[in-house]
Amino acid sequence: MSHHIEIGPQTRAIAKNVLLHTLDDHVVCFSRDTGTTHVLDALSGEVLQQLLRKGSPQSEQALREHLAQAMSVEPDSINDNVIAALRTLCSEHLIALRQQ
Amino acid sequence: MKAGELSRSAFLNLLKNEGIAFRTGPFIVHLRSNIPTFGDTWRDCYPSLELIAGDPISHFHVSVVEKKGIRSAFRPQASFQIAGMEPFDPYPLSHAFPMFEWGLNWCIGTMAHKYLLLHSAVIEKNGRAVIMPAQPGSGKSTLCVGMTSRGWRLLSDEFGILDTASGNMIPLPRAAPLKNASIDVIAQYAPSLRLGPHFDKTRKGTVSHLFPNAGDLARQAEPASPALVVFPRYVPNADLEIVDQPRPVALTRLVNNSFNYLIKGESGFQALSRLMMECRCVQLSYSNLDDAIEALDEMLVTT
Repeated sequence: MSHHIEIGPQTRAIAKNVLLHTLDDHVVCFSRDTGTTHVLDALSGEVLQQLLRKGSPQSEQALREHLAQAMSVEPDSINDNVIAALRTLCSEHLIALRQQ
Repeated sequence: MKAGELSRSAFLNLLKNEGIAFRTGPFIVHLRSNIPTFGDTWRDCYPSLELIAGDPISHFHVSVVEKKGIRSAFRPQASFQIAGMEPFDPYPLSHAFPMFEWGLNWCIGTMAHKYLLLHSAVIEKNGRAVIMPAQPGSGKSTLCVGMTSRGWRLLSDEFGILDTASGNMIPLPRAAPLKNASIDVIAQYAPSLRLGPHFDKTRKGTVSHLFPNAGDLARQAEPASPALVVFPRYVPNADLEIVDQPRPVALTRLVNNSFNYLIKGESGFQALSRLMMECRCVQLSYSNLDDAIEALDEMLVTT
């Protein structure tokens, strides 16, 4: 199943500049700001969608907890590599993260 | 009046002086040339093309002219000009026809940004299109030309023209260049197809063009709905193999394959995303043309 996430007025302004489509359990996204296109795996796509739903900035801790819940694992098992990838992703899409 | 209905002298005179205007796919081209051998080959290739009377508004004003100068005395040369500009180096005079075809490709690829342009062939049957992205050595042209002898319509050998508004593939039936060994392959596989003269020692080796048939030219305003994206791979002596491509992978390959995806921006992204929702995407490895064509026929029915 695929769906297009509508970027509505309840999201932050930056979120309106990112288009998302789900294709075969991946998320393809287009940044209007940079004109770049990315294919994200399910985990990264979930992170980006969470950020866009909730708006930014959010804390890394909150994201760890969200991911852990989504993946049915303990928050401590979301390792630093995931968080490093998350920071890169957010930097690419100009999404602010608050460190905690 | 069709190009082939004019006498040779009348056609060459018109081509040299006022020029001719014709439709190729969604584009109107105005062409002028003072090279008789080029005019002869062009007329042999496109005899059923309707010449547009008057002075229509054209997308491209092209000239193919013999270059004058000291060098030309020793090595006659032809120049491709678009709106009075010469975008690339001249070719040998004897290569004027392939130069024109490649030059017009350049014009479309660099200017026709109303559409999303994929570097691919597109073939159609029963209103449904198969998009074949171009990769060196894939055998894409040989496969597509072979398919035209088996009931398929060649929308284009070079451009997958995607109308971002409708999602349809737009035809651009033109001479399809076959290179080197593929010329003999097609001549033996489908001797009824019209192949043009051989041009030796071009920048791509020996080239001969498949001349489009009158039926395809008559249907050049008839789009097709995309159904399949096929990445072909010619592998000598290999068994036929069809491997489904994950759509994110296929989308990435098409992004990299496009002439103007970055220029199109958001509309290009939306168009390719929609294309992925509508198409099955596969990699097709083959060594036998008949086997590959039969597999594509079957996929089109079952998709």
